[in-house]
Amino acid sequence: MNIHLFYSFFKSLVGKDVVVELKNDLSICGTLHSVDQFLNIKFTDITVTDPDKYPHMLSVKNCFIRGSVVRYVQLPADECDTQLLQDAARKEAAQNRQR
Amino acid sequence: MTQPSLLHGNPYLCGAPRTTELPDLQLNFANIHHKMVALGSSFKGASQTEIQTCGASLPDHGAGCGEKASVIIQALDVPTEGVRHVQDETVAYVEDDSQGNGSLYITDNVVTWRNSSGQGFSLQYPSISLHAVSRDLNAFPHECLFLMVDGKLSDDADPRQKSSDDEDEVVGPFEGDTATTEVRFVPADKGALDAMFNSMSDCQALHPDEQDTDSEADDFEANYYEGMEGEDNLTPEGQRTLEHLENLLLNGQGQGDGQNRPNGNEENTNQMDEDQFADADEMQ
Repeated sequence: MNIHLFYSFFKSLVGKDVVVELKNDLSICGTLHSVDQFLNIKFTDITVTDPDKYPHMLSVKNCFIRGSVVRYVQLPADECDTQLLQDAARKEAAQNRQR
Repeated sequence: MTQPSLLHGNPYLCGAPRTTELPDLQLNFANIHHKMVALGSSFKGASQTEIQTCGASLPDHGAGCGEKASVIIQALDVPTEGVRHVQDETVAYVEDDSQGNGSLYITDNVVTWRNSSGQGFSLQYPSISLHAVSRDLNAFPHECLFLMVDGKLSDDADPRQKSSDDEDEVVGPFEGDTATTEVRFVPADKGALDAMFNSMSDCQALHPDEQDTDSEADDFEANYYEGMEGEDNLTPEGQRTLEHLENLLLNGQGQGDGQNRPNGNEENTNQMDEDQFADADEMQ
């Protein structure tokens, strides 16, 4: 997996609401504040989307999620320019082949 | 004697049902002690007395024996290396159990909390799935730094661990793979919460998973990707610009001509529409 593309893509989503599903099945909805090269994610104003799965969770500010525990990131469809992503992915793959 | 049943569903803890007389329980726990010693360093120093004590209290015990906790209370030294933040007068909660007052040390390598008696626990950053500042008093009665800790047992427990002479605070058995433990740090100084959060975030970035490391990142890209990137109010226009920039950068290795192509296409080999640039009044 090439992280560059995802890093860039997530950066372009800053300020948008996304849902992150962790590997422990917890789902967290929040406003994407920032992301780093390891895809660690910082949220502001999070809520737990499925309280039944994790009843002790609470609404917090300033949440930092370790990138390695993220299973999925759910995005609003209208924020995804899939054509752009496909183009960028192809180019990145081509670059990798050249190395 | 009947086969001991799983206690609290935990395969490492076998015991007779609660109605069994005490001598049987003691016998069972003697077996458990041997098993636990075999498990390795985590139980070094746990004395037979401790386990019998825990077992003796078992018939009356509810969830208080750390049924879900994977945090080990032990004797710890004050960390001295890479200390980023120290917060005294901090109460630690493991799940909902208060560990009392103590000091929190956020260091480059580990998060350590210990009380004035020298008892405490350490957390490795890869096990901290999430941390956050919680100010919602409905969820928890104190403003705190909230940590979600991966409940998996780590084989490489704190190598500086010493044998524990205290009989209290043996937190208990280990939970299965998918369990998580909630840890909360409540400082007396609530204004320090943001600094604690930021220090922990900085240190988390020092511990990426090995498999996630992109070995292809070289000088140009390493400089580009360093640090947390985020704008609080990235406008749609800014977003588009970022996307195009990224596209350029992705293409940029050896091909950069500095020209920002709006549609992101490096080369448009399709046939140009001859009329594209024609004047409107010529288009009849």
